[in-house]
Amino acid sequence: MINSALRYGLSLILLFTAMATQAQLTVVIERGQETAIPVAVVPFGWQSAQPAPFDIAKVVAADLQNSGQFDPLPREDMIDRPTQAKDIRFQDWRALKTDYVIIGSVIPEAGGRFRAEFGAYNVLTGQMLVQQQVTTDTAGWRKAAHAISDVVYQTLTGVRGVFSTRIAYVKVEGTVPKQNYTLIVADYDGENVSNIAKSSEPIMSPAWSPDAQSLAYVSFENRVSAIFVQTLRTGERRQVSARAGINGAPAWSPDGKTLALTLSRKDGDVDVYTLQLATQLLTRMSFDPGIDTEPVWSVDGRKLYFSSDRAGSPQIYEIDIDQPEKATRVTFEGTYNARPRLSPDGKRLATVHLDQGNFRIAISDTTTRSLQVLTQGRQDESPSFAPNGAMLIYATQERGRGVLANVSADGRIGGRIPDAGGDVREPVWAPFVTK
Amino acid sequence: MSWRYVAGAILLHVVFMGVFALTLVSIGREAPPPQLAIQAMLVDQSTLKRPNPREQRARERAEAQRKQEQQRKEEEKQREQQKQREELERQQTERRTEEQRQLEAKQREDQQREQQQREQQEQSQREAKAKREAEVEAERKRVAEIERKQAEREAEQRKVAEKRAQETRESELRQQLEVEEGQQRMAQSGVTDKYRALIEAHIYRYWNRPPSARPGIECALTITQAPGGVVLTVNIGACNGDAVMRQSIENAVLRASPLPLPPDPRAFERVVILQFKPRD
Repeated sequence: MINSALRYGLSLILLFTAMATQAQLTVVIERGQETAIPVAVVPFGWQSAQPAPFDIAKVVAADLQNSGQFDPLPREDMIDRPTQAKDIRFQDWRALKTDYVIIGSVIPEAGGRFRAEFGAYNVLTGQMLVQQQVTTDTAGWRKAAHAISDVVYQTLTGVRGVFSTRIAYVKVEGTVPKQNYTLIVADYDGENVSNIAKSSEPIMSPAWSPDAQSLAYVSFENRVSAIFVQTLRTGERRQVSARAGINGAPAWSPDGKTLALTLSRKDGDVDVYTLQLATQLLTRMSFDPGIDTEPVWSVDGRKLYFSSDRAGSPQIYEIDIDQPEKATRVTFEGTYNARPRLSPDGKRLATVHLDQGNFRIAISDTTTRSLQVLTQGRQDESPSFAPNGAMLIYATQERGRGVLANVSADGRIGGRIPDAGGDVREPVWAPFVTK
Repeated sequence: MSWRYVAGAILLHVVFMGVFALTLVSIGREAPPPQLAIQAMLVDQSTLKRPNPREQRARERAEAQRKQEQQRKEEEKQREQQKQREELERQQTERRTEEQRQLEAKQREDQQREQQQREQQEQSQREAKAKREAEVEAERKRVAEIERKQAEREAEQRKVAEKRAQETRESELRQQLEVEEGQQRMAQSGVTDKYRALIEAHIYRYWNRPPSARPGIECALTITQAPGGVVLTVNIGACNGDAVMRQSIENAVLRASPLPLPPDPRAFERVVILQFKPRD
């Protein structure tokens, strides 16, 4: 008996070992492609035969394309146009080499409102990735479309979308000596332009408050430079610095209570100061006889970065707020680095960098200090990070006038942003309204 | 009396007579008419109509002479005029040249003055620049000192990191040696490697790498395939990537189906483990 049990046990063991040694092939994959993901945003459904009051799918497709990470399928190539999940035939979309399909429909509700239901699906697995709805009235449909883009983008990339954020920039019209300056706020894609301030004297250096409700800017409306803070919703504004000499380059601290700025005061030495908005307490932050300007705060609000020519040409320096006399240089590549801007996670620094005789936008890693040039223009300036850190907006020259452009943070993709005409400069990207 | 003198005299007479006769003949033949102040000739009416060629010739000659004279006078006048014109031009040219010379002299003066001014400006600029450069040099020295200290610090850090990397490398090498020895024991090792390479080269083209696929992310995907290479099941195993990473590798394999077949059918495996280890 023990013999047969033993034999049985042995054979079982042998069987298992045989299974265990059944060969499995292991393949290591270290590389891939970095192409834009092909998606299809199908026109949203609408009840009646008449065309829908607005085209949500068009805005969503444009948003995904602007991010540089998606390649939306043109409408004329869509074989069918499902508006409900049960109508999607995934093999059709597979044949079109689409990875994800986004569908939706608009349903009218009481009180002149509308409900937009939408969903995103994985074409290869048939899996539903997200299904949501937003409500809006006729006036807010564009905002609703951007909200849908934000949800889709975050579902597909894991990164928060910036399609509901805004930008500010300065537009100059006319020729010297009769020029007009307008401070403009628009959607991130250049739509929905509204004029915030107008003057026949220069307006410069706009800066968004951390809550995206106010703008600080420099205005020469009193014939000399002064810094104003204007609340966008009310239009109310106040003058916060009109000291003798230069008042420039305002930058908000992360808690919104202090402005870093550039003053030259009576002695003419251009330096960085901090100004507490509530108490008007002014503290000097740089002491070099050269030009120290363009301050920007670290993410924790304890450090300032600014550009200084104390080494002969502009480079970026870092100081502790509590120990401003001890400045450490942080850019070492190239002979010119100015206009520092920190990414929202504080890990990267964008500068205007002189690259083979051209002014271009470059990004440095704050820990490794390695620098990468992102743009290819001749006179690119004024970089500003999107609040998700994935893109930057900047100003460049096209056919003799200033225009806006964006570029992805790895430099891979970029494009033009439409503006309201004129000579456009100094774009700044607003932070997220809700954190 | 000598006959010689008589003969000589007769000869002389004959010679002289002959010459006289000859002269008479010739004179008689070509005797010029007497030249009178007024040569009036009785002319037959009939001969009036017919122009006398000699007269004709004389008239023509006179006409020609007159014309010649006139022409000469004409030419003389023209030459005179021409000379006057040239004189005028010469005067004008002289005047213009003089003006030009004066203008150039003035320009040269202005240029000299400008040049002087410029030189003065450049001199003062140079002085200012020299002063600034001295300041810059001082700052540069200070920065160079800081940079040197930083470089020293970095060199230290690098040494430590290298030591650690060296240790890891040595242990990895040991592991790799073991694996290789195991693989060598396999009879079909060459063919399997080739099969592996085929699969990798096929799948990587379909993997759309998300930005979150940074080095350090490792995800294992176990698939089963039919004998023709069609992917039947996909299962994500150990994976430290985010949802987007997982989506991307799953999609990659589904899009890559059917997988390539090995050149030697004996190397085919139904179960394949794909290890995604993105590298920069």
